[in-house]
Amino acid sequence: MHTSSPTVRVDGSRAVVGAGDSLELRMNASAVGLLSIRVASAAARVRGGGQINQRDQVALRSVSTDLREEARVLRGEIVPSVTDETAYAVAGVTLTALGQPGDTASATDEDLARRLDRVANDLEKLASGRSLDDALLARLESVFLRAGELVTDSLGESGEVLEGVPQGPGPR
Amino acid sequence: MALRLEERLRISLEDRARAFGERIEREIARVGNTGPGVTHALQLFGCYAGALGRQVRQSWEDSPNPKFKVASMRMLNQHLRTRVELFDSRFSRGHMAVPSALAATIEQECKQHGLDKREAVLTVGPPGNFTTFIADLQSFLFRQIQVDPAFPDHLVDSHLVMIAMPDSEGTRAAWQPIVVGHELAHYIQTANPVITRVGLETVLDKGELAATKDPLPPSLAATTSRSRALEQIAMRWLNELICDAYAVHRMGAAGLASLAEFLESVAASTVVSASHPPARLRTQMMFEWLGSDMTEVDAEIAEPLRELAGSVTKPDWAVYLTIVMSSLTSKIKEVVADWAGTPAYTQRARQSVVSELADRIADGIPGAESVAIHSEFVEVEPVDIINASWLAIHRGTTTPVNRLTLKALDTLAFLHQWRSAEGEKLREAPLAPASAAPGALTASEIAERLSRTDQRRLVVTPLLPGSVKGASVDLRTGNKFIVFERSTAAAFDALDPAQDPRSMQSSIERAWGDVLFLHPGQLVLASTLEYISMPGDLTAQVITRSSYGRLGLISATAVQVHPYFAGCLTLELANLGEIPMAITPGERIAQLMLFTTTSPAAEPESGDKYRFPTGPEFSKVREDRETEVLRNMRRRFDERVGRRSL
Repeated sequence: MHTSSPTVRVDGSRAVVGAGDSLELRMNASAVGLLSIRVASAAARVRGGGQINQRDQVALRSVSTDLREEARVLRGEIVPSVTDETAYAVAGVTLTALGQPGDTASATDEDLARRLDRVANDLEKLASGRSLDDALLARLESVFLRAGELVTDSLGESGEVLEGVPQGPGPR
Repeated sequence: MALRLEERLRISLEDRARAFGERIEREIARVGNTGPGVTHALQLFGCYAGALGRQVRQSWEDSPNPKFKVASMRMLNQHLRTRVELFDSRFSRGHMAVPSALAATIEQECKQHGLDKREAVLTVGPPGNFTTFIADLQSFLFRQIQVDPAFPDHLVDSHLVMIAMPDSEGTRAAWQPIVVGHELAHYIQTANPVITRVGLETVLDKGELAATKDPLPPSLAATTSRSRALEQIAMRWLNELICDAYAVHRMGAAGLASLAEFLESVAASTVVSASHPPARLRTQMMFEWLGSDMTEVDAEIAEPLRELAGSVTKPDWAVYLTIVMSSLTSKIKEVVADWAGTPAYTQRARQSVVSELADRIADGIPGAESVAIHSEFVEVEPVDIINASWLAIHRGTTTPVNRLTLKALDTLAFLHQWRSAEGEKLREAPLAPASAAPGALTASEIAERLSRTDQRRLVVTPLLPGSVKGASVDLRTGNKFIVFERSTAAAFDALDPAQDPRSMQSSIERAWGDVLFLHPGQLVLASTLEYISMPGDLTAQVITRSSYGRLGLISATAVQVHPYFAGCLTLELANLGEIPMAITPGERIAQLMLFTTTSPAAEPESGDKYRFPTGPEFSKVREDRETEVLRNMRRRFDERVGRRSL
């Protein structure tokens, strides 16, 4: 029975959103990707001398809330949710975009929680209109643009579907 | 000047959103008003298609440079693709094959959990598995869409329970504990979560999780820390087990049987995944939940599946999680019992009812509204019928168990609505002395036949108050119809093997309370709500009630009912009047007159072509035994006159 909840999963160097086993996962992943691009876009606009708008603020606060929630789960302060895994998804793709592929597996839970809290702090500052230095804005832009690209890549396909071509083990 | 890449992407995305909107409009027009759930779901998708077009324009304006415009268009394209896929997987196979009674049951169950105004959207999905959309459709569909979705008022507060049943087999009655038990529990958990009450965190050791060595499922390999990834798997497994426990709590042995047998058909019982515990563990825990309440009837239903129960030996993290989940067996049962808000269904209280119903199914009778146990009438619940169905299956019953079970459930759904619309309660027919004289049966003679339990028993179920009077039994229309469709065939030739009535007719079902409009000159096939089982010494005729005949509605052109017939009678309804007539399923439109035969008839051949129908039947004229003879005669004649033959 397919009832898996939304999440974004990362496998090695390539994000595999939903791992192909649930449409609901992929639907949520596309929303997470949209959110990531909005955050990147807000950072880019401020870096270019513009102002963040109300829609940007909603996106920034949404992501920071999700990151904080996952940090609390990692510290054992709250129990993870399975009926809505959005926070797990947002944190997963953010951690992947932040670091080198595979490095999260060797990090401690506290290390990961700290990384998420740092990003959440930056997003909250940006949302409140406080000034951030150019390098930090560039980093936020780059991390969340990469997060969006990871999601886009993982949801996409390499081309049309060809059928009837025997591949791998199995009956011929 | 040539368009830039981002402009091309925007234009093609807007085109796709528009095409999706048009497809939804066609689907809405095609299905018509078939109950609020499906209609509202389609309308929500329509709103989404419009909103996505507006979102494209807003995201375009918000993007600070071409790089972000390209990224936004790509992401919105994926947003749309996944929603189109959802629409296609849930609505392209329709919903007509799903019994309408199931939607009513789900809405009723939601109400018991304090979830008012839930509308069930039950459709036929891809083959292979059940799929429950556990999130709220409205919020999930529009997630990260920032423009006003422009919902019409009636959709603002819409809450839909979307469950898709696997194509070709999902509508089997035997799987109902999966839909009404396990899958519904997933939905209820989103509104009324219970998982935190089990206390998984008190027994789950993160150090043990981190110390496991075997590879994780590829999709989880590097998302976060190993212990965190396994913690999420543990939560998902627990979530599934809670839903299993709910199915067993509500459905007893039938809950176990349906889940265990279906899981076996989906995958090997030792398969371990990131989302579901291995089937062996699930079956093992279900047996333990049934545990001390197990009766002889339970054992008959469940024991053949016991060899599917057990544990797993690899990978190491699954072995550890299996130990953790097993340690929570009693706690899960206790928490679910409290959460369900209803007493557990136990055969101990109901096994006589279940046995009696299983016997009736074996006799070709689809259940009953009530059964006599120790001289007292006990009202039958849908869950009794489901358990009886499993009992009949395990006893190797040769009658069509699925069809009879679905009919029994549909009858109970009708009676539930009948009572809630203030219809009179059922009462047992009064007894009267038997009459040996041949001829038409009077009301008291009919009542006497209805009360018998021997070979001279007549069954009419359901039998609503006042249905037996004068020298007849009133008959009502059921909710299943066969209607004519536009056909490209020049003519229908009953002897032509290449032609099938299904090419010009199709089955439809109306929810109880809905109507079917019959236009002047139109013919539809309906069936009686009542399921009839005739003894060998009675024959019957169906006639239109004069009140309807005077309005131009004619029913039952094939009026004779033979001895030993068992099933719902097909009624050929024709509107000979001058204005369309609304037919509400449940209307009393015909009468059954019963006659004794001069001697008992011979039992029909087992291949009798209209045996045990529970809805209108397509014409089987092509199966007539003389068909081949007539074809040969025509071929010979055609040869003589030089005409192209069949």
